Amino acid sequence: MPPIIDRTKCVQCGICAQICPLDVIRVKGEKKEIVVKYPYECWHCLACKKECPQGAIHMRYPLSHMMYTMDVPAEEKQ
Amino acid sequence: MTVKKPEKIIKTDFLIIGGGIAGLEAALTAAGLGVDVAVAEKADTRRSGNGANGNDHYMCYIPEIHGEDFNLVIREIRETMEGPWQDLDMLRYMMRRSHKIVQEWEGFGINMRPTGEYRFEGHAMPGRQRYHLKYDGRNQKAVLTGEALKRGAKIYNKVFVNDILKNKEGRAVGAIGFSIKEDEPEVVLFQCKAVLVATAQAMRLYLHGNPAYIFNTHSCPAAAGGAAIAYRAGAKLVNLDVPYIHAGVKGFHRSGKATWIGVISDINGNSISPFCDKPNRETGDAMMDIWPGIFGERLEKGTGPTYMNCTQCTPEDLAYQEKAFVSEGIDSITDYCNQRGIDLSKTMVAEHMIILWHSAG
Repeated sequence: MPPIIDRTKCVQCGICAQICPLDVIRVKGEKKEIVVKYPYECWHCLACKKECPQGAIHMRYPLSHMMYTMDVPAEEKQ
Repeated sequence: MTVKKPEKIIKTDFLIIGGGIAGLEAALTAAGLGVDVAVAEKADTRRSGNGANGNDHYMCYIPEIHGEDFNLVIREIRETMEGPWQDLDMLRYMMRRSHKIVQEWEGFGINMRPTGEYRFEGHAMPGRQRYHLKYDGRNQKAVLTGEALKRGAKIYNKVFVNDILKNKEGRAVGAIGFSIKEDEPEVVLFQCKAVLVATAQAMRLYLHGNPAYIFNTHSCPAAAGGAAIAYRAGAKLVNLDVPYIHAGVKGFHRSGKATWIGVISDINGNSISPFCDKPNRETGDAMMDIWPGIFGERLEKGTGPTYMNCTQCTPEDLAYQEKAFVSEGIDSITDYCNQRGIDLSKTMVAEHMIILWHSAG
């Protein structure tokens, strides 16, 4: 589920939780645990990834968010 | 669930519900005139609303570039594209103000000329004048937030407003909502003299086609559609009868439309667009604006799917497009393609229409 926080890099600053437009990430408890609380609300806008000073966040796109693609064979191009 | 009671009432002259571009622009303008302003934003104004991560086009009228015939400008916009502009009064008003906005934003530090000069690109028919200014809005919300704060506006983030409060005479005197900053929500009360509801469209009114995320849609789904707040307070609502069909990447909830430099094509990579058969950054493919319903129609008729085809783009155009995705805030497209090994110079992406409800409330 998007987004994925690399715990080895995360310093629990809480910027991701503050900045997410959809309130997906929350800071939990006294230990300030960073939790992806509402993964289904994630719109993968990348705000958290862009704002994270440690580069600890990357986005995982669930199967339902698939692009339907079609390769164009070189010889058929006009 | 328990809810904390408020310790005090927040007093202000002018309460703005919604800290998106509209709300912040209203806030900085009013605060600049000396008005006491409070903005209630359910997320964080630095990254909230439809413009959360940026935009790369701003439809505007610059007389030195577009000429003095304003009526012609309005007619061209209405005729070539942008179906939602059925409210002529609003369109005229916005276009009259637009040049000032461009100059204002440039002064704030939002890059309105990323190529060094004003360039108008996309959303246009070949041979016609273009009105979409290509700009780099990736920092726009942070900049507008700073400008509002600089002028003394108070911003209350993580505050979701539910209702306007009225006095016996029926006049709006405040609002009630709650702060979602902590796990236990806290009721928030505002007292004010005037209220602006700037919560944008009801974004999730229609089901989107994506099977698992049916309420996610093309534009940031954080647009709250708070017209209901105004309705309950007795405001007159307009333009709710104007639905809007957008178009974007099928299944992926991204559009960008004219940010894409490609050609709408069939499954074999042949253009189906009467407006262009070669990708070009000047016009994009107007098909998406003029007839977003085509994607659904072709699927129904069995001639689909219909694709955005960038395979004929020059490497320069593809690089330009990738940068524009960042300006527009849709670079999750690039992220996804990188993760999946999709090369847009070789692979087309299916498009689909997305039905929204444009509430000008």
